[in-house]
Amino acid sequence: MKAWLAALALASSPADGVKGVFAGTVWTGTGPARAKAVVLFEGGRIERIEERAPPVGDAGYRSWPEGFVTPGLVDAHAHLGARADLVEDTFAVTPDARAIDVFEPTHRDFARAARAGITTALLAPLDENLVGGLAALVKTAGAADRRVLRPEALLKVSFGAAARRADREPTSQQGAAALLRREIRRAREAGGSGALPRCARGELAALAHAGTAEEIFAAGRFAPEFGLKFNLVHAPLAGEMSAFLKERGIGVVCGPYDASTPLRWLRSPAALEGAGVPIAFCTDGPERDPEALRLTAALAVRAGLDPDRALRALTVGAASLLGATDRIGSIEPGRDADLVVWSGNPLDLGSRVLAVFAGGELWFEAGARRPRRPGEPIPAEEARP
Amino acid sequence: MIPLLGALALLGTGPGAEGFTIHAREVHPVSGAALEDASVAVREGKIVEVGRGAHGPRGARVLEGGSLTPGLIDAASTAGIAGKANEESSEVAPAIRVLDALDPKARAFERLARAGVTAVFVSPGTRGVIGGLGTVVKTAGESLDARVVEPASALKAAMGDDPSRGNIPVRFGTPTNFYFRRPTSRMGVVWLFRKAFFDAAEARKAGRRGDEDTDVLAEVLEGKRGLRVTARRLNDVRTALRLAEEFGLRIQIDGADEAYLCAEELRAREVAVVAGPIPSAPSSRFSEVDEPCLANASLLAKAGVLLALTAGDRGGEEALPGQALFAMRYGLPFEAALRAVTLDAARILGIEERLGSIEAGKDADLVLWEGAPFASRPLAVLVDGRLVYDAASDPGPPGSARR
Repeated sequence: MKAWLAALALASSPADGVKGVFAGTVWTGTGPARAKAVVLFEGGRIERIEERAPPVGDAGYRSWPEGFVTPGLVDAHAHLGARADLVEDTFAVTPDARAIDVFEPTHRDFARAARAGITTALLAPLDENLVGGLAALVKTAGAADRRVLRPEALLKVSFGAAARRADREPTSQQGAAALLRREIRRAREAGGSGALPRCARGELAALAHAGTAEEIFAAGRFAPEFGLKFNLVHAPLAGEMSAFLKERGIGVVCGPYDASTPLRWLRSPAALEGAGVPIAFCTDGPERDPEALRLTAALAVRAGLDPDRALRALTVGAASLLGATDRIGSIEPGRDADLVVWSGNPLDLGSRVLAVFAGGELWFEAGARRPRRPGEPIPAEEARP
Repeated sequence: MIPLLGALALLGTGPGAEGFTIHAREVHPVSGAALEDASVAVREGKIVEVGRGAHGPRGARVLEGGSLTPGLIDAASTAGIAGKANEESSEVAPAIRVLDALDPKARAFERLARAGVTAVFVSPGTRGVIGGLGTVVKTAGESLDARVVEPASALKAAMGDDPSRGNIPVRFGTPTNFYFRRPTSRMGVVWLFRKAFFDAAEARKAGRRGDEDTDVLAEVLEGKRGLRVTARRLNDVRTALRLAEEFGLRIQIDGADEAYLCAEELRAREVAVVAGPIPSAPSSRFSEVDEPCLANASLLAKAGVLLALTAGDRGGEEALPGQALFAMRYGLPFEAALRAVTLDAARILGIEERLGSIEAGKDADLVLWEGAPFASRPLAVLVDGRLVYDAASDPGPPGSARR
């Protein structure tokens, strides 16, 4: 009975009272990595970083002398917890459908993502609608009432084959572009606070799925034609069109990659980064395991991407592409205290997640045994049969 | 194939920026008489000088060959269209733009550039009565943007069998797909064409602000935009001429296998024709046509019709140089054949200010042939003053001896 009461007290406490995290390496995302530094928390945010050892005997500090701390990773395109509910395909154009309305913070997809070091994900409508709706930027970890970062982060658009069908307009890519052009013109004329009028006015950025070279070409020409803020997702051949994209200020969310991805695609992030095109990575989770995010970045590194740039694309780069650098993506004073403690550099696939902090709270710790709160991840060794 | 592509990619960014002096035993400017032992100077993507003593800028690379012609232009290509060639949710879709579905990295463009074709008119397919807006693009070039000559060119329409083939009339029940629709006959095709232009003309008369579709049709009615009609059989050609007269439309015809049967009328009405492709062997492609004639192009030219040639989607010996040779074989003089794949094609497409002849100030799109044009192989192909094909670094098609 006593143990049960203690467990209840732990579960209901808003924070674990962590004052700071000490680690052998702190990779901040914006400056050089800091050796043997302590990251201090205050009210769920990062207060400051100090290169010193933690005070001896203060239980408020957690210490991983061999640990490698990064900002929580950002999955820049996923469908976590709501795969089938993220498309309303009776029409091809559903700009005001909102992913946030099907967001379930306690779904196990989020717990699994958090356990893999992903603390923020873009919950995006699927590629099956020309205009799929509003994507939400959400946290995978932390108290359920503090999970929503941007309820209407981006407008999801798809130039992909999945949006073209024989029983519904559009049936072809030419038709898709013409329909989008017509809808944007109408939205611009009608005005108002709908997602499409906001996008047409440049107040809301679009994230456009593009698969093939011609889809990238069409999407790329679309942005300046209407003065839209535009980024691409997937776009495997984008690297071969990087000058074209750079000129238009279009960023690319790359991936997911795996062992069978052609080298021509894997070279894309390096080519884009080299041309100055902003990049991020994604998993499309739950279609891919959350671990696919690190794998994607590591494969891009193997194909020529600078490792530090890859780590940035996983964190501060993604935050910048998604318009949330004020809250996430780096270890700087004032940012949310979302940190991951790794056993080594996360681009080394042998590295493991040792702990995940969300809003200054220790949300997950490898090997820890204590009562779980709703939505909290099951430690890997317990989850396996 | 991969090393070849690599070589092409390298060539696209390598020499050329500093210019070329191209010398040939025969230079065919097309806009004037052929010059013997002449040179063409190229600088910053443009032709700067033509004549005996023409010199490129200091450090310019020198190319030499048998003959030099403008880059060839295919006025009715299908190159690069990815996926379906038509939007099939409507049989009248004037606001559709084929450029939106164009794959700039398609292998077809590389094949065309190697054959000496430097620009193509690509349009939506013939499954729609009014299919949408075509585009003029170069087959190679430094940047994707620079390759687009006309993003929205002539409007494409089709007469005859293609727009109705496969459609099923709705008799009872609920239509379950797009193929339960009109038109189902030649007559239905014309009806839909007429209704579209009639409605657009009425809207224009009433001063109504139209949607994208009506705007495009209005531009055609006002003569600001060309109308390309695919009409293979004689009755389809006549129908197109009748509709053009009815609405005062400026049309041009492709497909045109039986156009020679009304060549005089086409000339009198100043309707241009894009003829071909002629197959190298008997084929079923002529099945829609009752009286195919291999002398189609030469008879049209003899009658004074403004003529271009197309290879459609054909390659190898049926590619555009081959089409010019076939037309010559059946009576078209060399000069007329050359014009039909260069300057006259450019005129039909309304791009003759930039392309189609070797004149100072025009785009440096050029083909240097080993011997006579068409009959010999291209030694070098330039687009916008850049060497996009160089026979010296071409290992030839995979698995074959060098061509």
